Amino acid sequence: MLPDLTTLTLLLPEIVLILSATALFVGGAFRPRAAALAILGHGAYLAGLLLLLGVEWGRWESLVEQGATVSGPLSLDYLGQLLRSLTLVIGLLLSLVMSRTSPDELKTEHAGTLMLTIAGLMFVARANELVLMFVGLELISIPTYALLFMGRRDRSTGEATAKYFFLSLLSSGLLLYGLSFLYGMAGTTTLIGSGSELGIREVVASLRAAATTAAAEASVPSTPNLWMLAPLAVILVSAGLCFKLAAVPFHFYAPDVYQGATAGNAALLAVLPKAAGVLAFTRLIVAIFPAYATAWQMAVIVSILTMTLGNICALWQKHVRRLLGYSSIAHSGYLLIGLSVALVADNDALRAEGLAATLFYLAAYAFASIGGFAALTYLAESGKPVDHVEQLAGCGRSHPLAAGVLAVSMFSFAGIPVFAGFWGKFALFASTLEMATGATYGPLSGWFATLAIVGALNAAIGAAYYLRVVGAMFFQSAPVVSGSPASDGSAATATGSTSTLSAMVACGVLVVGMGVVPVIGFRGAGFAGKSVAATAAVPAVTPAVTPAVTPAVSSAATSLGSSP
Amino acid sequence: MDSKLHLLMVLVPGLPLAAAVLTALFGPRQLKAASHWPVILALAGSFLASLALLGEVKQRSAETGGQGGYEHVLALWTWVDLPEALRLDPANAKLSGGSALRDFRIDVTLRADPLTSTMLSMVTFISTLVAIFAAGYMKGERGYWRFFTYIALFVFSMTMLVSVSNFALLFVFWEAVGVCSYLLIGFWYPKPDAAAAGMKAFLVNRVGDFGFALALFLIWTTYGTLDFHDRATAASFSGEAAAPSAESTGDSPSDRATGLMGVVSPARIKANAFWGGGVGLAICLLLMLGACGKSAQFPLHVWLPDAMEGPTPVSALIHAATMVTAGVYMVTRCTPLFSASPEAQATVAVVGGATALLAGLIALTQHDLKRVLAYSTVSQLGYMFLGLGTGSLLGIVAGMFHLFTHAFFKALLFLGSGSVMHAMGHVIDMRRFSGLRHLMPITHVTFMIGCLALAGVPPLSGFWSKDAIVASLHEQAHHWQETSADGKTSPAKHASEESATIPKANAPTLLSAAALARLYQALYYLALVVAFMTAFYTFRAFYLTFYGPERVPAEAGSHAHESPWSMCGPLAILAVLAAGIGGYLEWTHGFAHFVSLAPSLAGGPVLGTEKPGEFHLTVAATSTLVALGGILLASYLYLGSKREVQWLSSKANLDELSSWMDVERVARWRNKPWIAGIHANAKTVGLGWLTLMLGNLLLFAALLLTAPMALGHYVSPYRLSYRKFYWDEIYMATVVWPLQTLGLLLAWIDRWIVDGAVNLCGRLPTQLGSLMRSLQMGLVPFYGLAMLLGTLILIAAKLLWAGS
Repeated sequence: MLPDLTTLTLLLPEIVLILSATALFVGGAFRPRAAALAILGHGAYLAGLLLLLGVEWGRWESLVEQGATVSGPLSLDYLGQLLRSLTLVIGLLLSLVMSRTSPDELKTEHAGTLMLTIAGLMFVARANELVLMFVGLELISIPTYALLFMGRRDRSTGEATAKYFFLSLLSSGLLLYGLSFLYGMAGTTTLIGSGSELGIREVVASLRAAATTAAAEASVPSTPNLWMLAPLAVILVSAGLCFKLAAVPFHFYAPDVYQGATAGNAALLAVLPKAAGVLAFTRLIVAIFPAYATAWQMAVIVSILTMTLGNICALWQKHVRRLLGYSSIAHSGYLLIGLSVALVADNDALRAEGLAATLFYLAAYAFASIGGFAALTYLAESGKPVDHVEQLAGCGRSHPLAAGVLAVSMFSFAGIPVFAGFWGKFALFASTLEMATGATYGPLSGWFATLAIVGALNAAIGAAYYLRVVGAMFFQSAPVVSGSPASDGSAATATGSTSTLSAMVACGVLVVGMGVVPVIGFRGAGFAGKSVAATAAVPAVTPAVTPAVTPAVSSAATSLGSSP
Repeated sequence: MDSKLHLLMVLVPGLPLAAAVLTALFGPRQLKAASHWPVILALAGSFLASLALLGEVKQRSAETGGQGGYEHVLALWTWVDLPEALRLDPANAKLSGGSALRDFRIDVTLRADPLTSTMLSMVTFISTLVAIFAAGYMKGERGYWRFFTYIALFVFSMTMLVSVSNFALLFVFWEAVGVCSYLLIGFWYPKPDAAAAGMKAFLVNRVGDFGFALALFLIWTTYGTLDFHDRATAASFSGEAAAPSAESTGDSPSDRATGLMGVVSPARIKANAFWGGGVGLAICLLLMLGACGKSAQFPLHVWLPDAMEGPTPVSALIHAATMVTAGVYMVTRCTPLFSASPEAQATVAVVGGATALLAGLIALTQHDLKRVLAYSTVSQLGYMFLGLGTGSLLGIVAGMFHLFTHAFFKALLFLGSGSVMHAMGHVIDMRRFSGLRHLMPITHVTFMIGCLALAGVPPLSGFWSKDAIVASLHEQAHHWQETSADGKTSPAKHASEESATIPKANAPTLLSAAALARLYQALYYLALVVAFMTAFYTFRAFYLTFYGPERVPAEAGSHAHESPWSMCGPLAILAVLAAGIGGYLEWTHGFAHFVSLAPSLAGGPVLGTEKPGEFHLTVAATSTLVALGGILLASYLYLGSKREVQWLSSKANLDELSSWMDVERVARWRNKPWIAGIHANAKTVGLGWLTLMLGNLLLFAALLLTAPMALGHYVSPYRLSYRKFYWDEIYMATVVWPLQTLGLLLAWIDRWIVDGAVNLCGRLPTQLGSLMRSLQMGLVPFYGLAMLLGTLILIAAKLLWAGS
């Protein structure tokens, strides 16, 4: 089935990115240092963003009002739209951070490869089709292997890349296996059907209804119900996605790979797969298996294990990127809190609340991560490469701006008020506590009370090592070592690139801005959450009916476009 | 019009705040020794603004006052707004006014009414003079700018305290004033006494504030609002009244605000919707506890004399004029609440009387000039509470009047003592100097005027206000006598006549009218006794300082001379006012009529009582005679030879007792000829052992008797007065020491048990982490295996669980 023209127009930003990436690859082969190509490396994201916000401007309002619609393999909903814009912003920031780390002759390849991963994430954001979803996920993974290898050529990088490559392949295999069960149950690759055409969601819902009735009547059906396969599908798909999230027990690669990668690549690893994981989890599990015990129990358990393990192991780390690797594991645990609330909820409002909290947390996490790694990159560019926490000592004095942004990121990670991370944690815990105290969830309250308590304890543990980083920067004086690059006259004059600086500052401003004015972010995340929550609540027998989403202020869309 | 009024209302506290910010910012570097200029100018401006405000309020209240009084409330912005914070008991809702659902909303509001504007002009005037005086007194001190920053901040807090129209904000500035006083008393913080005194003042005030805070909670839960005013009457800064919008429907916030009566608003006073009974009594007693702390009333009076450690002008500022009057102001503002609860009113009177007597007794024997004045202040504040405690319009206005005149002459006395102290090189012990009248003529004359005013000699200010209080007590006693003679057995009945709407089911029956009559009669005589003592100790201090042989301590060095103009100028101004303002206001009836137009006094049961402004000749004559008697006694004792004083103090000290305590004296009896004769005779008949035994028994008895007599020595009247009735020691033994012990114990528990447990918890995660770190071995096959195993475990768990 060839995609018609309408579908293509819906993918204009992605097409721009892919064409630009192609141009970069081809053009870079002949004139790797051309200024036009360097501009294209950043400009494509801006063009994509302009297209997204400009050409599809009118659609934002209708998305808020109508909820989700489906156009073939694409789902047109607020979640997709929001995440695509967020992805483009992230792409721009990452390209700014990475523009100087790669060697000159590989610059264009580097930029093009990064652009492909961004396009991949945008596909995932909009996929309504198993194959498209999987291709999107692979479009993130495969260029990442190349990127990791291009960043630096030494033994540890090679080892890290190899590890990531093998384990990523394994996880893709698990995911694909899970997807095959989904396909086997439904007989279609479309996730959400439109009109008369049934999607996986509708078929699964009716299978589930049939199984429930059969269980209620205690009758043995003549043919085996395919609902039996649901646990396998859910667990295998989740296993594949948990790798992207770096959740326990699929987390092992993260610290090793972060340590081996450059700071810029670590930023990419920390943000892109995680966003893809959250999106795919929302589309594949939350929307299709609402209030399914196996799914949410698994999510709660994995969440508790993940954040505890991540935080506890991070306490010991002396290597900054390794520490942030464990920290990213811990944050996956927090993201899973929101997802498990969304999974267990049996009404739209609560499901939307859990999703909105997750999305807000994701955005806060993404900006703080990029800001933190950008600050590390900037320090490295200014002749002060930082591998160990002790090396940060005295940064508050010598590089106040970089140290400031890094501190802002750490505060945000720790969930200290006035920074974005605080509101993220606040929203997550609020949704959890609502679940724990809600009258209708009596038997479940134990699960979610435990989740909230463990989350709070973890926030306290996390603060310890985040504040250690801040303390090293501001309250320890730099060791006077004659051979260190910082004290070397020539190296001390080196300054970081403007592009890294601008990305770093932009992230700092975004993190503080989201913390000071969380309303805009929450509103956008709320609409996105509602758009998915509505699709998940489809009655089993009448598939095509989508409940109306609460009408909302039209200006929300405009305010959202500028600040995700 | 309104905008002018609003501007003045904002300017009065605004100028000191601006000066405080200015000196805080530029004091240390730029202003340095010129730090007093912004503060003096701002305070003077603030004073002029408050005078203009006074004039404006006077004119408006005369036009619109009449029944219900005059108030104008300016709402600046909303500070807190929690919608639907409280649901009142439906039974109470009717009495509370408005709907049962209450928003916890606090608007930052300023008010202008006769009470506030009077307090404002008094506070800013005294502060201005004190600031000018301090510019001379503090010259060259370390932290000059810091001192003036504190002063400006203090005046800001004090003006806000009397300006705000909300209990919560009143509490905020109540605390702010306390903080400023802490900073000012401890200004010489390297001096351990000063630091400790600041701490003591602050901590003792905490006890009072605790009561005040509880009172606020009770007011909030019973009245459902903390505003003084009706919210609907508050005007915004632009001038128009913020009337509730007409189109509001349902249970919207503005809808809930309609009909909402402030706690002491004219509307509520008119409706007379106040809590009586247990809750009303509790509110009033707790409020009174707060007032006791701030106004240094018994039993929380102990902090004020120690506060003498601060630089002298500060003492003057804090004690005479401003901070200590906050309690009097607050009780006056809450008059309608107190009117609803006669026991509370009687408590106020009793506390005031006890304080006046106790502090007066202590002041008789102190050697420190500033301490005499401090105890005199405590005593006079007790007088004010006596007036407030009568519960009649006459008494309350008299209390406020005494507050007003007392501010002038006590500030005069404090500044005069500061002048003496300045000349004597910071020596203030009256035993070490005397006869200063020739050295310091201006100080001498002005101090004398202050003393005469404090003693209550006509026609100086103090006479009029003190006389008004004494007269009100007399009237009140008379009133209750008549009531009991009329057969109205209980004040509850008396109150319920006027306010049929109040649920007086558990109305007070503790005090009958006859008992009240006896109480007020006793308080009347007590007031006369205190007046006598006041005259005596005032002139004792005066004579000791300025008369007798001219002696100057060594510390004074070469500057034992009259103080500079910046110090004498304020003295002269204050002297003129201390002499004249009371008589002027009394004869024009200006003060009484003006203040009684404040909403709290212009309606309700208070109105049914005596009209103010009447002059009682017999009472006036009695109190004059008493005052003159005190002065004469002091003159006789301290102007002539010292013999009578010595004799009196030895009598008061029970010196004879010490001779009885002498065991030697008993032993000496043995040598008396007749006893020796008896002993010798007894010996001859073989009964020597008997007389010896008798003698020893007597000796033993003498020893036994010595112990109680020694105790009598310590509690002799003189010692009791000199050691301030041992209140500090009593608090030390009953409160401070047990709490310190408890604190040490808890500190130990915290350090070894709680901290130990916490540290254990803190170490747990890192230990766990090191355990888990061993899993991270860096081998890809292991990682892959772990992933697969993890998946399998999840699936297996699902199958084993075999749930849905």
